[in-house]
Amino acid sequence: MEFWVHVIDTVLIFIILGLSLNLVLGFSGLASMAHAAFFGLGAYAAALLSSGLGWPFPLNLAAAILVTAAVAAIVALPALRVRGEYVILLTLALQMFAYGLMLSWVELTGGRTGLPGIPRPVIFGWKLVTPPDFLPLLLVAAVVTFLICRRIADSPYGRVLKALREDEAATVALGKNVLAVRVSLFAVSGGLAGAAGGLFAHYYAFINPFSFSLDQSIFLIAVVTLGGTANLWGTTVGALLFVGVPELLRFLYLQQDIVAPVRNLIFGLLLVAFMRFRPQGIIPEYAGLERRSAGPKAEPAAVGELFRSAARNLAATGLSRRFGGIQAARQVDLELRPGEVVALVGPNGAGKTTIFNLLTGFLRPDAGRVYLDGEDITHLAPWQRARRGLVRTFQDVRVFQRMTVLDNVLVAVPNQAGENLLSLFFRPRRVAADEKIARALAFGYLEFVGLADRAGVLAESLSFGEQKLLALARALAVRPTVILLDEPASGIDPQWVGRMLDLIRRLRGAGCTVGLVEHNLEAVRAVADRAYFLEAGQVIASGHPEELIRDRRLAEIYFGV
Amino acid sequence: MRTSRSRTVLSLFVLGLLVMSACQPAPGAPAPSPGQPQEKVLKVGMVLAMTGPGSFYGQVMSRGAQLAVDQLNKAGGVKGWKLQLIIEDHKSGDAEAGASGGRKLMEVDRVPVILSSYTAPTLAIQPIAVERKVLLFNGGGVGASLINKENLYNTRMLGSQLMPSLVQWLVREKGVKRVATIFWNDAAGRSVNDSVKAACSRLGCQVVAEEPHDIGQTSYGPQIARIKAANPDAVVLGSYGNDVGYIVNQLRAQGVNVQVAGNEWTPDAQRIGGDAPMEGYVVVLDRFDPTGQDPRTREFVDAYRAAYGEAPEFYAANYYDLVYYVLRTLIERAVDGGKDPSQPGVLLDLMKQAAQSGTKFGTVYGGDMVISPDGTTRKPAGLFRVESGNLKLFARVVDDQVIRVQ
Amino acid sequence: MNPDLLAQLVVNGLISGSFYALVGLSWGLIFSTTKIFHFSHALTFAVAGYGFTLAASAGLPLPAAAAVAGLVGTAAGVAEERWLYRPLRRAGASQLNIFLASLGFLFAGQSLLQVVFGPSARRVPGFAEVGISLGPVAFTNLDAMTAAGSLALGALTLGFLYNSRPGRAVRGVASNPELARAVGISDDAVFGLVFALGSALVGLSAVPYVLKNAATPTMGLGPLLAGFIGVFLGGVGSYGGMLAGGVILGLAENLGGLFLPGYWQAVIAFVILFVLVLVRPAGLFGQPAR
Repeated sequence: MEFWVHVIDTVLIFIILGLSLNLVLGFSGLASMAHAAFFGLGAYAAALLSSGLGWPFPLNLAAAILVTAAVAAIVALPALRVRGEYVILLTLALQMFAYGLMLSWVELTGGRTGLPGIPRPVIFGWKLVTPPDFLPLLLVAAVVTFLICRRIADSPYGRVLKALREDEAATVALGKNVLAVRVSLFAVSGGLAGAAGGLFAHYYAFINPFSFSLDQSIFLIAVVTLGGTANLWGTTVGALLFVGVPELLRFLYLQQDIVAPVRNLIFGLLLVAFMRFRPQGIIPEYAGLERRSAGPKAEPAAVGELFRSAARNLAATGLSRRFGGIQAARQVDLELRPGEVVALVGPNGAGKTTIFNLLTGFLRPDAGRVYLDGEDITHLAPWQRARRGLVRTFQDVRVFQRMTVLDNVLVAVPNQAGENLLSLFFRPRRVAADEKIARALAFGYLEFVGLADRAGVLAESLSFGEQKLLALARALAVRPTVILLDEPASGIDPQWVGRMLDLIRRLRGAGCTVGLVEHNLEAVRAVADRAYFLEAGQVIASGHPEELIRDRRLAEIYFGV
Repeated sequence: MRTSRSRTVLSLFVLGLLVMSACQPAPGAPAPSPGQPQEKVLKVGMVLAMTGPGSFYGQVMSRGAQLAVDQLNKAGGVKGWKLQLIIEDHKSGDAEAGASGGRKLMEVDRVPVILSSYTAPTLAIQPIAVERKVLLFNGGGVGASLINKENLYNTRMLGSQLMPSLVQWLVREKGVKRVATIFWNDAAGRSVNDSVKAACSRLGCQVVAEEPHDIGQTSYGPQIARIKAANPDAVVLGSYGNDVGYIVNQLRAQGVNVQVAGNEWTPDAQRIGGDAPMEGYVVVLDRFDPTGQDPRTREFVDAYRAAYGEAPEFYAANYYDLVYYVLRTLIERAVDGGKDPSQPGVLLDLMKQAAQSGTKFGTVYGGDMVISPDGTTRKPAGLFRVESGNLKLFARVVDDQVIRVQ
Repeated sequence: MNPDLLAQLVVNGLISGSFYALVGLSWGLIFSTTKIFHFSHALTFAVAGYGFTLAASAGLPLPAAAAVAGLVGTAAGVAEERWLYRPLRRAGASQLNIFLASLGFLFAGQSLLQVVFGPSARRVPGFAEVGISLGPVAFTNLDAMTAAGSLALGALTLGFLYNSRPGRAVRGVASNPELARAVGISDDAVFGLVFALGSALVGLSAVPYVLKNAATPTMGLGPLLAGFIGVFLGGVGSYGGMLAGGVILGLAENLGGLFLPGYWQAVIAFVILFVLVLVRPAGLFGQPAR
C-alpha cells in the first residue's frame, strides 16, 4: 500500500513540474530545455538550506521558489529578447551547465554522490516521514499549482501569452511589452519548478544530479506535449500516464535492462507521431471550447465609448533606410493630419510597407525622425508607440489563429489590471471589474465590424475577409488616435470591400487619423482625402487621389507600362 | 470556482484510485504456489545498474547472486528456506531510481535484506533501510562516505583502504618522489586523492599536481597538460570504469611516459586504453583471480562458466560471496537461534553481532574475509601489473605491507 | 604563467575547436537554410559513428570505413528530411512542433541504438594513436588528422557554397526564401541538398570522435551542443563565421584551463554563450537582424 502512495506522491510532484513547463511551452510557445535544471536548483537550494543552515521546511520551500524564479528570469532574459531558437539554445546550455555543476562542484553539491540525509519536514509539529505522511502536503501543493496555472491561463495575462505564441510581431503591435511578459512568465514557471524541487528533496531525503539531467528535461517536454500543450488537464493526465503507469512495469518482472530504453523509444516515437498527426496532444487546448464560449456574453459598449475623440497628427521627416544594396526608403517626408485619411500608393516594391514599419518602429531608420503630435517618438519601441495611440495592421492580417475571435479583440484592450501578475493574484476585484469593461468593449468593436455573432469561434475558422475585419477590430481595441492600415481592402471579396471602406469612413468620423497602404485604386479614390505616390523609396508626388490617378506619368510607373 | 476546485480534487482522487486498482493484480508476480504451504521463501532484494552506462555491472552482479541462489536452492535451500532474488534498477547511479526501487522492495516485497551497488543509490536507500530495519550490503560502490553508515556493510575494499600500499610500493620500489593525481571529482575519487596525499607525506614523496575530472569524461586535454607541466615521476588515478582507459591512453599520447597506477582495471578500460598504452599499468585491488587454485575459487569459477559460458569477474564474485557465504551464514544462525529470518531486523541484528565478533566468512577470493563494525571489509588484496593485456599479480598486500610474490 | 602549458593548451584548443567547427558548420548549414532546429543531428552523428565502428570491425580499412560513415550519415540525414520533416512541413507544423518531433526522434533513435547495440562503449579495433612531440607540445597522429581533416572539409564546403551553382542556390534560400522561390529554386531540392551535405559532414566528423572515444548511443549530444554554440558565436548568417566560432570556442575552453580546473570547461562555454546572446545575438560575424 505504502508503495502505491509513493507512486501517487511521485506523480503529484511531476504534475507540478509538468504544469510549470506547460506555462512556458504550451501557453507561450517557448521550448525550455532547462526545466530539469530548475527542478534541480530548487531541490539543491532546499537541501542545502535545511541540512546546512537548519532552516525549517516552509522557509526552505520559499527560498527554493525564489532562487529558482530569479535564476530562470535572469538566465532567460537575453534569449527572450531575441527569437525562439535562442531560448532553446540558451536553456539547453543552461541545462548542461547546471548538470555539470551539480556533478563537479563537489564541495557544495556532493557531486555524483549527492546530498544525503535531508531533514524530514515538520509541519505544525507533525514530522513527515512516510509516503502517506507526504500525500496531503503534495496533494495540496499540486492543487494550488493547478489553480495558480489556471488563474494565469484564463487571465488577460494568459491571453497575452497565447497571442505571443501565435504571433509575436502582431502582439507587439498591440502595445504589449513582450519582454516583461516573458521574463515574468519564466520567473513564475521557474518558481513552480523550484517548488517541485524543494518538495522532491524533502520527500526523498536524498538527491543527486541524475534526477536533473537533460533526459529528464526531454522527458518532461514529452509528458507535457503528449498530454496536451496549453491544457492543464492534459498535463495532469500526461503525468499520470507517463510517470505513474511505468511504475506498474516493475510488476511485470520484465528484463530490466530492456525496459528503460524501450520505454524511451516508445516516448520518442509517440512524440514524433503526435507532432505529425495530433500536435494538440491527448487533451487539446480547446477541448471544452463550446462550454467556455457559452460564458456570459457581455452587452456591447456604446459606439461613443469605443473611440478616443482626439485625432492626432503623425509626421515624418527625412526617413531613410537601406537593406544591403537596396534603398528602401530615401528622405521620406510625410504628414497625416488629424482626422484625415491618407493613402500611400505606388508600384510593388516602392517601399510603402517599409515606411509603415519605420513609422511604427518595427524598423529602425538609418536617418530621419518620426513625430506623434509633435513629440519625437523615433527612439521608442513599437509597443511604446502603440500605447501612445499609433496602431497598425498587417498586410498578411496576422490574427491570432488559435484564439477565439473574442480573445483576439480582448487581448488588445489596453490597461487591463489582469495583465499584471501581481494584480492578478492580489487584486482580484479590480481584475474582475476590468475584465467586465474589457468584454463590453470587445463586443463593441466586434459589433462595429459586424463579427459579434462569431465571437466564440477560433479565428482560424474565419474567411480571409472576416479575418481582415477582425484585424481591424483588434487594432481599434488598442484605442488608436492614428491608425495605419496595410492593404485593408486587397485580396478580399468585393462584398467585404464595401464594408471595409464604410468602416474606414466611420473611423474618420469617430476622430481617427487614418493611414492606408492600398493597391486597390478604386478603394483609395473612394476614401482617401490625400495620397502620397512612392517610387523606389521616394515620395515623387502627393495630392488628391483623383489628381494622382489621372496623372499619366504616374500611371505609367504604377502599371509598369 | 468552487465546483471546479472540487472537480480537481475529485479527479485527482479518482485517478489515484484508478492507478491503485490497476495495480492490484500485480501481473506476473510469482506467488508461493498454494499446493506447498510448507515452502518458506526468503526474498532477497537487489538494486543494481540494470540500465544505463553501467549495465554491464548490473548484469554480472545479478548473475553472481543468481548463481549462488540457484546452487543453494538446488541443495534444498538454507535450512529449509528457499531464496528468491528480486532485482530493481537504479539506472547506473540515479539516487531517485535507487530509492524508488529500494522502497518498492521494502514496502511491497517486504525483503529483509538488500544488495545494492554504486555509492549514490546505496546512500539513498540506506536511510529507508534504517527506518525499516533492513540489512543493506554494497559490493560495488567505493565512496568513502559509505563507511560508518547504520545497517550498511561494504564487501568491496574501499579506495582509501588500499591506496597507502600502492604509494608505499611506488616510493620504496620505484623511487618515486613527485606524484601527480587525477581522480573522479566525487567522494570516491577525492577520498583516494586524500589517502594518496596522506601516504605521501608519511613516506616522503610530494604531490605535485591534483586534477579532479568529471565522471565519464572522455577527453582530458587540460588536466593532462597541467600534469605534464608539473613533471611528475608517477601518476596515480582515483578514477573508475572506462575513464581509466581514456586517461592512460591520453597520458601516453601526450608524452607522459612515467609509471601510472590506480585502483581500477576492467576489460572494457583495457580495450579503450589499448594494449600498448596500458602495458605496465599497476593497479591495487581486492581482486578476484579466476585462475586461482583455492577450492572455493575453482568451484565457483566452474559453476559460473557452466551457467553463463564465460569466466566470472570480480563483481560477480563479490555478489556471489554475499549470498553464498555471508547471507547463508546469517540465515543459518537465525534458524538455529529459533528466529524467522524473513522478519525485518533479524538478519540485521545477526550481521551486527557477526561484525562485532569478527566472524570469518568464506570467500571465493580464497581464504576468508572479515567485515568490521564500521562497514568495511578486509580480504585478500594485491598489486597487479598489466602485461600483454592481462593482469598479473606481483605483490600481495598483507596488513598494509606489500610483499612481493615470485 | 608557464609558456609550455600555454602552448600545449593552444594546440589542444585548435584540435577540439576544429572538430567543433566542422560539427557546427554541418548543423548551421541545415539550420540557416531550413530554419529547422535539427536536434536529431546528434542522432545522425551517432548513427554514422556506429556505421564506422561496424564497418571497421567487419575488417574494412579505416579510410573505407570513414567513407561508410559519411554515406551512413548522408542516408540518415536525407531520410530524416524526407520522412520526418517534409511531412511535417506539408502538414503546416509550427517551428516549435518540428523541433519537438526532432527531439522525439532523437530520443527514440538513441534508445533504439541502446537496444540494438547495448549501452556500453564500442571501440574501433585496429587503430593505434601515435604520439607526436614538437618541442613543448605533444599531440597524436589522430589529433593532427582531426584538425587538418576538419578544416579541409570546412574549406571545401565554403568553396562549394560560394563557387558553385547549387551552392549559390543554398545561400539564396538561406538569405531570402521568397525571392529564391520566385526565381524558381525548389525548396524541397535545396532542403534535400543541405540535409545531405550537412549530414555527410557530421557523419565524417564522427570518425575521429569514435576513434578517440568510442561509439555510444548518446555520443552526439556533447559535440552538437558545442557545435550549436560555435554556430551562434560566429553568426547564423555567415558560414565562415560558423567555422571560426567553433575554433574560438575550442580555444576558450582550453585556455580556461590556465585558470580553472578542467571540469569547468562547460562553464566557460555557457558564459560565452550567455554574454554573446546578451550583447551580440547576431554573432561575431553575423549581420545584426533588423
